Amino acid sequence: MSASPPPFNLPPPFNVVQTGYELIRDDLYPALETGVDTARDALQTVEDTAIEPTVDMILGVPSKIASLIGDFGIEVAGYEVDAYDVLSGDFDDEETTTETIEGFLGFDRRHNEVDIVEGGNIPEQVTLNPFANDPAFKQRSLWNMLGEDGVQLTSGYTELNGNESAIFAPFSTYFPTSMWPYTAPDGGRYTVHNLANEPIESDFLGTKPIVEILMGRKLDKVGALPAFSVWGDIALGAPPVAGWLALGVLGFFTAEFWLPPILLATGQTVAYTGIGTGEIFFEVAKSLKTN
Amino acid sequence: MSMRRPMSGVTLSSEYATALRDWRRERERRSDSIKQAREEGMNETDIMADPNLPSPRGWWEYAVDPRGDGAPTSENSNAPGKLDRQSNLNTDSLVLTDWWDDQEPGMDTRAILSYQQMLKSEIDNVGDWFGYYLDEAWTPDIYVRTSMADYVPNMFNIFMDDDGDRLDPSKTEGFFKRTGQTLGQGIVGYGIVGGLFYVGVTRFMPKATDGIMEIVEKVVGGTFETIFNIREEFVKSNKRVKEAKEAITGD
Repeated sequence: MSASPPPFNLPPPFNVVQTGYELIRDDLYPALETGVDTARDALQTVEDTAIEPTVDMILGVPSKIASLIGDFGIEVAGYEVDAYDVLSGDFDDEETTTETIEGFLGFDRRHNEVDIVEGGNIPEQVTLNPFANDPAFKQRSLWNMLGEDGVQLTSGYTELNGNESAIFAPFSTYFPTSMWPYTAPDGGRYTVHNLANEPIESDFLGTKPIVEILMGRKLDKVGALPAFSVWGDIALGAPPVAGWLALGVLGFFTAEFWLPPILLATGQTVAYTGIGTGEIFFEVAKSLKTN
Repeated sequence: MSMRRPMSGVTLSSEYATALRDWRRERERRSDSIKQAREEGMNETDIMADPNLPSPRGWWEYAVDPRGDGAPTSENSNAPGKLDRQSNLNTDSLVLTDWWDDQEPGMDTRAILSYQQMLKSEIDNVGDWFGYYLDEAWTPDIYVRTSMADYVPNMFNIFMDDDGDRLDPSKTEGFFKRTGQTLGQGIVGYGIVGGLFYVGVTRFMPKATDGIMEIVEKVVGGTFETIFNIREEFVKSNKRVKEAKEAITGD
């Protein structure tokens, strides 16, 4: 039986990386996960025991009042009748009354839906290459867009109760695709309109119905958040702008490390090409002269 | 093998590919007609004036009006190029068709290969050959890139899915995960391209250039030496033949 091979010793820098990775994987990540789970459980408990019952109670006020009205008996010609038997119009029955009271209290405002209408001025691919302009393929060069269509800072609009707000969309419209870090589910360019249609999964710790009533709109998608038409595209464009700017600044301040070798190598290449070409001509001339 | 599209971006429908082929054919046909007219002695003024010798058109001009029967515009139109959507003359316009709605999410490798094979079958001169390998072979027109991840060539992409296909962000549920994949693919791909460029330029390019120039110098020098040696041997051989003839004939 042959002896087992000696353990493979990694060089020190790899050892540090490996140890660091193991520390994160075995200690830090589980601790963080436990902490997050604990916090989530605590918040869930608060939501289940305090917030949700309170919200349900508030939302239940109209139906409670409608129910109380239904319990109210009136004597007509010696007969005891239900209050709803003599009421009409908006208080015809318990259900109608509930809706009427909801309207009085503004509770029905939470059903107002925000519509997102896309503009037709955003191409699928935006390029800085002036020769790659091809509107038939929805490929536009930035220069062609600015030259032909002028500066267009908005695209489409949001609409709530008949009020339209143009969506500010310079990043979605002009940011070069080669630096755009978003992808739409259909493979197309991800724009502020895609962001607007992203669903809001959170229930705001159970307070979503109250928040919807206060805001006067259904918070079913990101585009329904107040003033989305103003900040939506900025939220989408700011991270890539910051990222590429940071990379540019990093490149600028580290240029003394990476630029000289490139310039030196390029200079050497040019010099070798020149010297080589000269030597080739010299060789040809020498051959012609000798022969 | 998985039938999933192995990349994001969008692949345009086969109608677009066919339209591109038709446009190339029209361009070739018109160029050839004008070339032939020149060879037959027609001057440029006559060629320009001859309705049977229309000029070759660019893709955009063709896409706007494939039939070449006119493309009316309207000031109020929101169509590309302000084309009048109501005009019967614009029913052929590619930019007004809804073919774009038939796009396939991701890079449809088979559709692109078919398109490229179609283009290759049309190549019949050196110019077309160079044109194809400098452009369509690398960036086929029917594939439209929509995010930074799509700009990373396959050979520099290290992200694969379980089926061995290129990781496709558009198939991922959830905004943040999808963005993470697009960003990761893009940044890592660009990093690899940049790193290889840096290493290639700083480590290999000067030495490779020096070596290549030395080889060329030796090849050129050697070629000349060989040619002159052959010439010398040829002269010597002729001389020997001449001497032999003289010896035989006694002249």
